[in-house]
Amino acid sequence: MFRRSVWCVTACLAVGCSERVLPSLESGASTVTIIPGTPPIDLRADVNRNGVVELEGAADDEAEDTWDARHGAVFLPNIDDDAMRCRGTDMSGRPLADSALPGCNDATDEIVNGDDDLKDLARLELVRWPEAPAGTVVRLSVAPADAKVRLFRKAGDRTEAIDLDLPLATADLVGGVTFLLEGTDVVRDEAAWDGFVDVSVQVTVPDTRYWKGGTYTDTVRLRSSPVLTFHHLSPTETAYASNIPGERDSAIFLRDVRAGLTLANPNITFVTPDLEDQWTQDFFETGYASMPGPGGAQQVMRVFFRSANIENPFSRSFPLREAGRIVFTRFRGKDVAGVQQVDLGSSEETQTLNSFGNFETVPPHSTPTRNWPLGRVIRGSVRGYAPDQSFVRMTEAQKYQEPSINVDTAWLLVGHVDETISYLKASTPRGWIVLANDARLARQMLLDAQANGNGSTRLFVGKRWLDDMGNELNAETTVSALLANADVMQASAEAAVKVDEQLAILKRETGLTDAEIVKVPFLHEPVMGASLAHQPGTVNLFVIDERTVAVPDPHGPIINGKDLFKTQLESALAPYQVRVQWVENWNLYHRAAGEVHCGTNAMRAIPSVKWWEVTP
Amino acid sequence: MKQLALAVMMTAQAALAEGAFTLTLAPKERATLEQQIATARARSPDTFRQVAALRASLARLDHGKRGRYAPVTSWLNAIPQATWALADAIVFSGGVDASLPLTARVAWQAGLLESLGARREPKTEGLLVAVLVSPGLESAVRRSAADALGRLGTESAAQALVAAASAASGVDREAVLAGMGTCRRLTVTAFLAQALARASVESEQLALIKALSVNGNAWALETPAGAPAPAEVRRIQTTAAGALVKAFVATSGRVKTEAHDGLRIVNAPDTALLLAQSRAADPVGVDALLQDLRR
Repeated sequence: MFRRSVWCVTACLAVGCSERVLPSLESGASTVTIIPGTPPIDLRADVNRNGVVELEGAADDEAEDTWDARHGAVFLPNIDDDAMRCRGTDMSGRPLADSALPGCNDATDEIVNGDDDLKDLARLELVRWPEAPAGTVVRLSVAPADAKVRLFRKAGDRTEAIDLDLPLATADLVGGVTFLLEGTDVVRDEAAWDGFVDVSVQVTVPDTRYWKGGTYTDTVRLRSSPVLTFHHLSPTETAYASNIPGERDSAIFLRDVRAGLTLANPNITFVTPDLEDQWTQDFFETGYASMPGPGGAQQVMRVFFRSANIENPFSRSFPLREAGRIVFTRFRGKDVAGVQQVDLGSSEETQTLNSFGNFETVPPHSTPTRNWPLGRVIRGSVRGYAPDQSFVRMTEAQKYQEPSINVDTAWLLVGHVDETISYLKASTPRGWIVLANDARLARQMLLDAQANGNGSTRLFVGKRWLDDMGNELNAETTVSALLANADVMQASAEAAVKVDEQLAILKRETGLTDAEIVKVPFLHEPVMGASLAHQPGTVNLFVIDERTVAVPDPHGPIINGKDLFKTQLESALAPYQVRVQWVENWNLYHRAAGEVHCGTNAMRAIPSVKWWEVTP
Repeated sequence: MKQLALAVMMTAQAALAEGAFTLTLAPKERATLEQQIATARARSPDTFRQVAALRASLARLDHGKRGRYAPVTSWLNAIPQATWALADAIVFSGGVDASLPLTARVAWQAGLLESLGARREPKTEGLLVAVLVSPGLESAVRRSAADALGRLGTESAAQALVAAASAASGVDREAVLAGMGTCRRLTVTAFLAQALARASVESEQLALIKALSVNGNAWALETPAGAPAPAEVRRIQTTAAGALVKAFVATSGRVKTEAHDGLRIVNAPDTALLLAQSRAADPVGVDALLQDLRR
C-alpha cells in the first residue's frame, strides 16, 4: 500500500510545499520546524487489470494487497517455451524419460527467454524515491516463501533473476525499478499453494532530519492464472486427429472429419500427427491460462494437459501413455505449455477414467448459489471408481470450473462421460442444449419400423468385423433380429436408466430442463458386465462450432431411401440450425469401442469472459 | 505299454496347456467335447481359423483399447456358428502368451466365455460349469463364466450357479453373483433376493443389485432368448422388484441409487404396489422413485 508522505512543515507557506520536494531550509523563513515524514514506499502492479502498471493515481494502488473479482494483479505460470529451445530428447538424442519431459520450459531457467517471454511476465514497479537517504536498505520478499514464482529485475534492456536473500541497492529505490514476476508452475495442490503470492518491498530507513526512521513495507497481492478448459460454445480453431500410418480406415476418418471442418470454417487448422494411438480425445486436453494485456486484451498461454494414463507400469522411464508425449515433443512452444500430473501408484482398474474422454466441460450456467461463467468440469467418478486423485486435486486447485460434476460411468465398459452426453450452443435462454443418448428412443424407433413392415430391413449394411488375418465377418443384422437380441435389449434397458441418472445429476447441478435435452438414439450391448454402444454411438460427436457437428455414421436401417437414424438426428438438430457431417468410423473406432469424439480433439477460441472478473 | 501311457498323458497335458483355461473335465465329458469339436471343425473350419486369428490379434486389440478391456466379446460375437470353435479355444487351443498384459488375457478369456454363452447352446453347460468352479480365475473372468452359463437359461444351469455362489466366498462369490443374473429362472431370482436381504457388505450388495436388475430386466424378458421359461417371467420380475424395493428403502448412498436404477430397469408391473407397501420406511425416496417410474 502506498504510504502517503506527511509533510508537516509549519511556516512553509512561502515555499509551496509538495509531496515530492523537500522543504528548503534556505527559504528565508525565520523559524522552521520539521517533523520527519514517512517514506513514500510504493510497490505497484497491474491491480486494475488494464494491462499496464500505472505509477500515477490510485488505480493500481488502492487495495493492492487484496484480491477479488474487481481488482488484483495476475500472473501466468510461465511454462511455455517461447524460444523453442525444449526438445523431447537428451543430448544424445534419446527420448527423455516421462518424468523429465515437463522439466524444460521458460520457467526452468533463470533468464528471460526473449521478447515473447517478456510478455508472459507480470510487471511490478517500485516507484522511485529520489530522496531516499543513504543507508536505506531495500529488500524484496514473497509470501508464501515456497510460492512457485521467480522475480526478475529489469535494468535497461537486461533482466536478471533476483536472489531474495540479498538486499537491493539503495540506488534501485532512488531511481525506481521494474520487477518481472513469473509463475514457475501451475497450481497443483491447493493445500500446498493456492496460487496467491504477496510480493513485498521492505525498506529500512535510517533516522534522518526529514525522514522517520524504521522499516516500511508495501505489499502487492497477485494471483496465478488457473488453467481453464474449453467448453463447446467456443468454436474450434485447431482440430486434431491421429493419422495411423498406412491405415486406410484412418485416411477415411480424417477425410470425413476434414470435410466437417471445411464445412464449418476453412480456416480451421487440422493437425494430424502420425501416431499409433487413435484415441486423440483421450491422451491430451486443451486449455489456457491468461492475464490482462494492454487494451483490454488477454495475454494468453495455451496449455495442453497430458493424460494421467499409466500404460507401462513396470517401466521406470516410460510408464505413461506414449502418445501423450506429444504434449511436450510437438505442442509445447511459443505461448504453448504442457502439464503433466500423475500418481504412478494409481490403480490399473481405473486407468480408463484418466483419459480425457472422461473429462468434459459443461458450458456456462448459473445456479442459485453460484455462477459458472467459464463452465464446469464433468467427469465420470463414483466412490470406489474414480480418476487419478492427484490429477483431480490439480484441476480442483484451478477453482474456476470446479468442483466438478461427477456422474456414474462405472456401468460403461469404457467409462467415459463422452459416451453418453454432449453439449451444443443454441439460441435458447440458456445458450446451450444437451445431447444425450436415449436407448429408449432407439428401441421405439426400431419397434415402429418393425410394426410398419420393416422388420427384415438390415442395419450395418456392408459393415464388417475384420481380424489381422484378413477374415471378414459380416456385421449385418435386421431390425427384428436386433429387437430379439436379449443381450442387446438387456444392456439397452440398463443404459436408458443409467443415462437418466446422469441427466438427473446434470439437471440438479445446472438447472437444465427436459426441453433442453435432445435425445440421441442408439442401443447398447453387454461386454464383461458393462455396457458398450452396439450401434455407432452418435452422441460421441465432434462439436466443431455452433452450426457444425461431425457424427459417426450410424449405418441404420434404410427405410424409404433414408437411414432411419440419420434422419432422426438431422431432424432433431434442424431447429438449432446445426449441420451434420457424417463420418465413417465403423472400422477404426466403433469396432474398438469408440467413435468420432474419441478420435478427435480441439483447441478452441478463448472465451471473452475473463476469469479474473469471476468470483469462483 | 508304459511308454504309450506316458505319451498319452503328455499329449493331454500339452493340450491342456494350450487352452485358455486349465480345466478339470471328466474323461467322458472331454471325449464328447472332442468329438463335437472335431465334427464342427470338419463342417466349418473357417470358424476355427477365425477364432485363432482373433487370438493372434489380441495384442493389437489390447494396445488399441479405449477402456478397461478390449471388446473381444463383440469381435467373437461376429463369428457365426462358432460355438465349438469357442469351446475348443477354451479347453484346447485358445491359450495366449503369458507375457501379454493381464488386461489382454482377461479380455480374451472373458470374451470366449461370453461369446460362447451368447450362442445359448445347452450342450456347453458342462464346460461352462467346469470353468465357473475352476480355481484361480480372475474375478472378471469368473463373472463372465457365470454370465455365460446363465444365458443358457436351463434349470440345471440355474442350480449350478446357485451351488457355485453358495460354495464360494469373498471376491469369487461376488463374481458369481454379479454374473448369474443372466439366468432368468426363478431359482436364481429367489436365491439373489434372499442373498440381498442378508448381505451387509456394500460390494456384495452392489453385485446382487446388478444381478437382480439383469435378471428381471424388462426388455430382455420380452425377447424369446431372454425369457427361457415364459411361465416364470412374472414371478421373476415380482421377486426381483420386491428384493430391490427392500434394499431401496433400507439403504443409503450408492446402494440405494443402484437399487433405484435396478427397479427402473426391472420395471415390474407391481413395482408401484410394492413401493407403496414399503413407503413408511422412506416416504420421500419412495415418492421420488414413483415419479421416476411414471416417466
